[in-house]
Amino acid sequence: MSLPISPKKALLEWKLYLFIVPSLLAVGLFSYFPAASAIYHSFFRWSGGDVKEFIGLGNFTAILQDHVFWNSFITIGILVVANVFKMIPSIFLAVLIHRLTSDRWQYWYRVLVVLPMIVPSLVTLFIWKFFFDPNFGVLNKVLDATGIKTLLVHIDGIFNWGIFQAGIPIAWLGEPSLIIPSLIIWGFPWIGAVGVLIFLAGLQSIGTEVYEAADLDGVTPFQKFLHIELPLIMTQVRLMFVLMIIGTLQGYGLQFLLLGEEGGPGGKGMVPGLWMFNRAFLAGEFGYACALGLFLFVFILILTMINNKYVRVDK
Amino acid sequence: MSGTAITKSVGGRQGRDWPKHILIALILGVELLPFYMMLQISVKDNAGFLANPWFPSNPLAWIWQNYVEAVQLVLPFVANTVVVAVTATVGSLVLALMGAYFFARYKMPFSGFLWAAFLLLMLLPGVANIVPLFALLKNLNLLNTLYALIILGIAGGQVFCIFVLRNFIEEIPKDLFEAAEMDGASHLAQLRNVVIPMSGPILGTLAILQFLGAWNDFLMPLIILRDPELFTIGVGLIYLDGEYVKQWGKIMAAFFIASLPLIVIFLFTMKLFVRGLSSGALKG
Amino acid sequence: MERTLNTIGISLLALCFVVSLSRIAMLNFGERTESGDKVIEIRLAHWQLEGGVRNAIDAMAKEYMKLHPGVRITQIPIPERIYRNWLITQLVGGTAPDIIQVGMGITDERLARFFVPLTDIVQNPNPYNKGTDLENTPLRDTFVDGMLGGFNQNLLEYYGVPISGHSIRLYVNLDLLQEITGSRELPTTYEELVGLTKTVEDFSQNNGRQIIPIAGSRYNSPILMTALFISQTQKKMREMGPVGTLLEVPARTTEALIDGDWGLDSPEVRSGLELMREVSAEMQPGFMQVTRDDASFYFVQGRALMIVTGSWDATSISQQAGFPFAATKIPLPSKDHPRFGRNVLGTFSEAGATASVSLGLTRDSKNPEVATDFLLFLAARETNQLFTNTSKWLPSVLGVEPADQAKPFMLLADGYTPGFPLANAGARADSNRLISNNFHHLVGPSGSVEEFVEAIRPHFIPYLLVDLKREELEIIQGIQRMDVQLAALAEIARQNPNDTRDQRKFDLIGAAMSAKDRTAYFHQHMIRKAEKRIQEDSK
Repeated sequence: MSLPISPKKALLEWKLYLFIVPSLLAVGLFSYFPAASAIYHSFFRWSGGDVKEFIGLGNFTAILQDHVFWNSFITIGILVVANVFKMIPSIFLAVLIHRLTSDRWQYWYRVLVVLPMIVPSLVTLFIWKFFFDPNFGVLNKVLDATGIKTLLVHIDGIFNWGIFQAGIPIAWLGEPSLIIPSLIIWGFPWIGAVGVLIFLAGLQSIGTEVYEAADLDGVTPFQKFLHIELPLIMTQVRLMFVLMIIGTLQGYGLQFLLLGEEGGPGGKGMVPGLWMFNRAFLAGEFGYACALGLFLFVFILILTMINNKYVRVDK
Repeated sequence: MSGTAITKSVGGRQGRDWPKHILIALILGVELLPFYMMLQISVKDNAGFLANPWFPSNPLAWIWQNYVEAVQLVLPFVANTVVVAVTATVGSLVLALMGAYFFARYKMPFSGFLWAAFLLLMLLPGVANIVPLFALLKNLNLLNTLYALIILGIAGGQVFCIFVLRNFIEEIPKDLFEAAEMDGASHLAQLRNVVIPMSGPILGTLAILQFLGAWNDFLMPLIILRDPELFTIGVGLIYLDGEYVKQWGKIMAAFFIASLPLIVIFLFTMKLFVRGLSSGALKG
Repeated sequence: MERTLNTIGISLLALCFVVSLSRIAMLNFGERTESGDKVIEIRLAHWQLEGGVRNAIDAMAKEYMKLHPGVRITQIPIPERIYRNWLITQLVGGTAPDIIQVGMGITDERLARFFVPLTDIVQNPNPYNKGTDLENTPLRDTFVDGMLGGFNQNLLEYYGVPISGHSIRLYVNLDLLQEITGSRELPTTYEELVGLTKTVEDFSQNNGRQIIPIAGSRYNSPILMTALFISQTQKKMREMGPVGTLLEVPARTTEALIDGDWGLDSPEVRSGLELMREVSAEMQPGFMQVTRDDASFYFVQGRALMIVTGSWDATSISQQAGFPFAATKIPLPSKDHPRFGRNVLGTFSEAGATASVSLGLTRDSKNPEVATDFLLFLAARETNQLFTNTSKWLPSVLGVEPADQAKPFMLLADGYTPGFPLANAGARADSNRLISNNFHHLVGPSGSVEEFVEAIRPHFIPYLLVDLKREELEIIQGIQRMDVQLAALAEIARQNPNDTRDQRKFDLIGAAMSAKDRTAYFHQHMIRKAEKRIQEDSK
């Protein structure tokens, strides 16, 4: 902890304040000022120029009737739930690597886990977009080769979805009802390099003896995970969980690049962030976009508070 | 490291590891598939790719022309991105170190208030700020400049870096500071002689994360930059993807070149990369 | 060991940094002419990323820079996918380039707010036409379409200088045609087109080589299908009474729709839909999920015999295709066709097509005089000749000889007026969404015309009402804005009674306003009728 200091000594150490001034300036000008400005402008009809018209709560009442915005919350809700499950492979991989007895292998696997990080995320994104391509994409080729496509066509026949048809390539990003499934499949097998390494850091404190003792007691691998490993990485899991929720709620880059600014066919991939971007930089309704952002901020704030209250895990 | 590996692997437990190896290899194999596809398509033309999308083509038939064209397309973007990413990373770490030192050294008057103010920012969704930020940059005449990206990178990194560095500096033994103070060292000297030498790995980790963040950003550059000669990788690749008839080989070659600087850095600082991230410094 | 590696890595990065930095620093110094003046930079942004156009613009810019050494022209090509959001970002951010291609994503409001009207310069002859027979012709009359492509109907001002023109064609792979049919004869009627597709299917079956008769996509297919649909409404439109100009067609047909003069059950509409459904069977399955680039890709790779697209794709296709191809007008049903013949007047006249790739001047331009001069240069006959020769796109200026490759795409004036579509593309956002969201009923393997009609019937008029109301609101907002301008001009005139400079502007705005008043009134009238119609329908 930082040392307590008497006011008298603090006066002598006034130079220390100079240390925080640059950060404070940067953050004040580029984070706090825009935030205040967003709140201010959310009460105006403002198209980005010098002219603006005060409309009171007009933007907020418009939000209440904005179906696109509310539907985008349903979409993002589904994506958040999916992302919770998409954390599992990272935990699984971390545990697998940790259970290896050879430190040398553990090290090399870590290197391999980190390797995809050196591909710029945009490149990964475009490659995935290419994977989804109906005619040349890897995904359809895999589904065809493994016979899963035939199965899907069969299931489609039973439920009469009209989505999967024999001989017709599946248009992952072209068919409205496949947009959300595509966004969920995106990034398979869902390994997050930072996540895996952070989980591994949490697992470090488990020594080989613990495993050996467990082996002697005839504990199954799953029980080992439940009783030995999971409790140790709960702090990290919670951290990643919170970061994931905030990241998902704010994110729209993926949807923007995969589907375009309208959220793809039928607008099925529209998320709150993208809708805000769309209103500002496509419709030119900057005031309304500010109000949307404010709404989103309050929403995230409430979620974080709930999270802090109920999901707290003791360190 | 190799020595401990040998002593630990006694007792025959290693024999039971092979199912795990297979599982890990499978997962990593799928994970690295995009990387593989990028490499093997980057030396094919459209016809070759159509005929054989999966496997590498004959090395003698590799089309290096793809790379020649891709270099011309992407290299200027890479140069701009290097400047932005390096400056933003260095700037944000210098500022954050000083800020963290302020919070970690003494409980100065108002430091509690300032700390709370910083923490609140962690909750503020960046996306909510994008519109007024755009208006602010316009008023500061920073639109269509690389300065805007650098400044935003520095400001954006403050909260997280200060948060991590404060925890770290607080754990440095207090006697070290006191000893330096006895020698009459100023705060700046203490920062330089005590804090920096001890925080190499954590600084490395933060630097890598900041660098990656700047490298991968495309939403801000997309609305800030207008002129193709200023484009960073993010915008540049989006423009490349907008061509009507796509030459997949050329595009993949461009992707590879866009990843090249990161690959080079990674090759040399691999250990720092891995160790920094798994050191447990980044915890809740 | 690790330390050395880290050091090498960081030094490499530092080296990259220094090299990159010096490169950027060099950019920042800016160029100077030999006499030491700062070079004036004019930037031109457009979304024409098709093959050839960027080279043509570069070639024209080079010519201009030869004449004016103190000026540098830079082009900024923007992908269509992000064009609209790029545009609004630049306009609002005040960083808009001097010259921008207008059309996509530009409303009347934005045009008036961010662009400079060119009405002044279009009245005068173009100095760059000196020495030609256009020397004394006003700029406006040097274009093939009288510069309609740069004119805004609502603002009554010229906002763009069009440099090219477009037509829609059916492209045929000639080598493949020879291989399949043994001749290079192109289909001229819809019957022949269908006959050809049957031959292709037989060929595919006999040779085990899958050839798609017509490459379809969600971009290309509607072009062909709409053309066939409007062949069926040709006669109907003529029946519906005098139509002054092509520009009044949407309003007139909308009113007729609300009045019940035509509707989803009209025989013309039904046979138009039948025709759309029939031709959709000749494209590859699932075409509505395929993008524009993929359809072109099928064609240039020789996997499809034909594709329907605009002349704008010709250069890209000829760069990619390893075979000769022909381009012909979309074959329509002949008058003798047993089912579709009776509604057809005949092949479409392309006389009504306007010139396109219209370039506007922004208010943000730091050097509007130079930018205007460059626009005049682009509009000159000699420059336009260079444009068509380099890009192989159609020219827009009178007396310019199209490049040989552009000749099959030249606009053919003889023929008949096209009919009306089911909904007016672009303007009618909700009506269009209704149709595209239900399109699978019309073209899907399990769908039918009946199913499509029943799916859209309950919403057809209500959605039109929503569109009309939105248009009405936009018109009224426009009138309000003009009102403010008129009041300001009147005030200026009151204070300086002797200054008549703004008189012309006043007259123009006044005229535009009364035109808008008329449209607003007409819309109000249609909205009331539509509301009544919906009430009656619900009974």
